[in-house]
Amino acid sequence: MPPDSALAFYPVQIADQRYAVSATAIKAVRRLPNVGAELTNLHTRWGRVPLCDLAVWAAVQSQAEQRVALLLTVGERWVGVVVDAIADAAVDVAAVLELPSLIHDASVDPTIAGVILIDAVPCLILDLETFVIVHMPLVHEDFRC
Amino acid sequence: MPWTHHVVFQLSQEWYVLPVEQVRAIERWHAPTPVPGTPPAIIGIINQRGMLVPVIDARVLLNLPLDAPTRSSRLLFTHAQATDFALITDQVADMLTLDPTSLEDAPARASTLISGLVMTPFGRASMLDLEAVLNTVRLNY
Repeated sequence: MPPDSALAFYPVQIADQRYAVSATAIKAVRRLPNVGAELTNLHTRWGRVPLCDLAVWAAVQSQAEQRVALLLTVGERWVGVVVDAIADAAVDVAAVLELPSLIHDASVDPTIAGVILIDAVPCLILDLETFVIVHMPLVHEDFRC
Repeated sequence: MPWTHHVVFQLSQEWYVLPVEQVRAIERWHAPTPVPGTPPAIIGIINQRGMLVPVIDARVLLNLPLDAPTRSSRLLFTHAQATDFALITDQVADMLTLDPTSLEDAPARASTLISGLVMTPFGRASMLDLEAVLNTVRLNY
């Protein structure tokens, strides 16, 4: 992982959609086979880590042969989110943009923390900690998977 | 009232017009970035010269068939209610000078997004009411 930076992001791929996650959010990365079914947990040296598939959240179908679990900590717990791929190198950006007001006013999922431009294309930033708190509450409060 | 310039465009085989003052730019279609959780009519956001602009598919609001984008598809960047947004269109045909007295009332059964009808060289076209489009999108939140 490159040096920590609040404005460094890893592009991640979920089906044909590209998102970005803060470089400081991810503690580890594990490659996974795409077994065609949702993996619910992963055995690691930190114990059994619950997983949540971001393709399900994004309502898209993953076609990747191999997938990736991004491991992070929320409080003292390890959790993982599954994506299709993550870039090897982080992207440094000068600024995080807000969603346009027409969209910001809508009930957009709080997981979306803003937008950065990568190659001039808007890329939604995923706040993974918020994602875990909002979408994996059992994991956050009392791990049972 | 003076004659006014209008942009003529197509949504699913049907012709529509917008006053040129409401059109900021026309660009070739490029896929927007989808934003989960938005109403179905908002198909994503796009970068237009450094500004993030939502893209609205008015065909969803008009209950028209959702044909896949083609080489003719264009993004029509517009402005209403202090909001910039883009409309996906199946093609932008021309810019015409229209006699405002030729504007007919929309039939009672027409969508509330249509403020009137006008005859163009392409046939009868509907005047799209951008404020009504935005209000309808916001109602779907």
